[in-house]
Amino acid sequence: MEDMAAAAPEAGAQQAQYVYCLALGKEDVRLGGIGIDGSEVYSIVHNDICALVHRCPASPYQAEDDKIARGWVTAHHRVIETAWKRWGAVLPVTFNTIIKERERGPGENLIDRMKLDYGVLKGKLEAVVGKAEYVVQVFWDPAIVSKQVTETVPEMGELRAELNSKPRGLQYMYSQKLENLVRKQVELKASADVMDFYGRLSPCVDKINVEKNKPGEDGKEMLMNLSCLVRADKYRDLELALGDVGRLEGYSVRLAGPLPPYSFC
Amino acid sequence: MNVDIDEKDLKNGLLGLVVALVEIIKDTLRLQALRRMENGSLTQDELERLGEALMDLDAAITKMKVDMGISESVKAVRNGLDRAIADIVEGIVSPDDPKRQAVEAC
Repeated sequence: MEDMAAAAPEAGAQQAQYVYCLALGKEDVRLGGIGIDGSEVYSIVHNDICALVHRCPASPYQAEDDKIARGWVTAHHRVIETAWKRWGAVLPVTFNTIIKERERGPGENLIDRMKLDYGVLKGKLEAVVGKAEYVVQVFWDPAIVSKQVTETVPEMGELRAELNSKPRGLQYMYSQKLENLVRKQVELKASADVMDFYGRLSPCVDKINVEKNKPGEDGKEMLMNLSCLVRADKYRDLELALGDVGRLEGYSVRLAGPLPPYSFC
Repeated sequence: MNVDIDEKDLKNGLLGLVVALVEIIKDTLRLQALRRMENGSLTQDELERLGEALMDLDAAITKMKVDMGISESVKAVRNGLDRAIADIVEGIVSPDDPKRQAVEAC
């Protein structure tokens, strides 16, 4: 039976360039077999920008086997990281971006696309020179924060005192009221904290993308999930600002990077 | 075409769905009761009876979940519904968010 686990593009079909990223570079280079399935990666240059590509048939990479697909994606990112280390400014391109070749020759179609969008591409590349992406995540422990909130709101103390003197059914209703009050106060604190922390991070970064919060671990909840574009000389400020947040009782931070500017191209 | 269905999985799935819906209705009733409590439209006696009824309902649902071993099924249904609603709300609030749309090649 034919192996359907991995359908790499067939040889002999129409050819194309698989594009990994664009970079601020003007030399023709060959980076060796670091691409998907060991493909030879090389640059196609227009003026002072280049695309890092490998030649492939003009159909997307598709795999039913997750392990194979993950290997391809890993190779895709490996090429982007290599280009980033070499040229310092890259615009990563989505996996499976494939530009068909035309009759004029290999790479000409891609060069035409780079010519067409040269100004915009050059501008975007220059905007990320000397900068890296960092993922910043802030977590909090809801139990600790709820306790802090209940200690600072007088109405809660009064409600709690009333609870014990009530019959069973009323106790239940008053405890639900108390829970609601705690929940609202915690939500208000969350909003205030997000504004506060955002304010602390803003001076340290060039750009911030607010990402979706993800489920926390070990009983903690994610409060903020940010992608930050940071200049090299501002990284220390970012570390210090995050350190201050992480030292607050009930809060913790995670900082990942440096990464190529995936979220800012 | 034969379809193999595990009878136990099917039973758990359906029961989980039913109990999740009962929980959602109970939570809605509780919210309504709290709202009426806040605006003073219930007497103390009415609040007491409502509180007792909701407490007993809470206890009955909890016991049902434990006895039938469907706590995880119920949790999964409610988490799934929460995610679906969050996606819909986000779609309304941020319809043009590029992260929600297909990314075009540079």
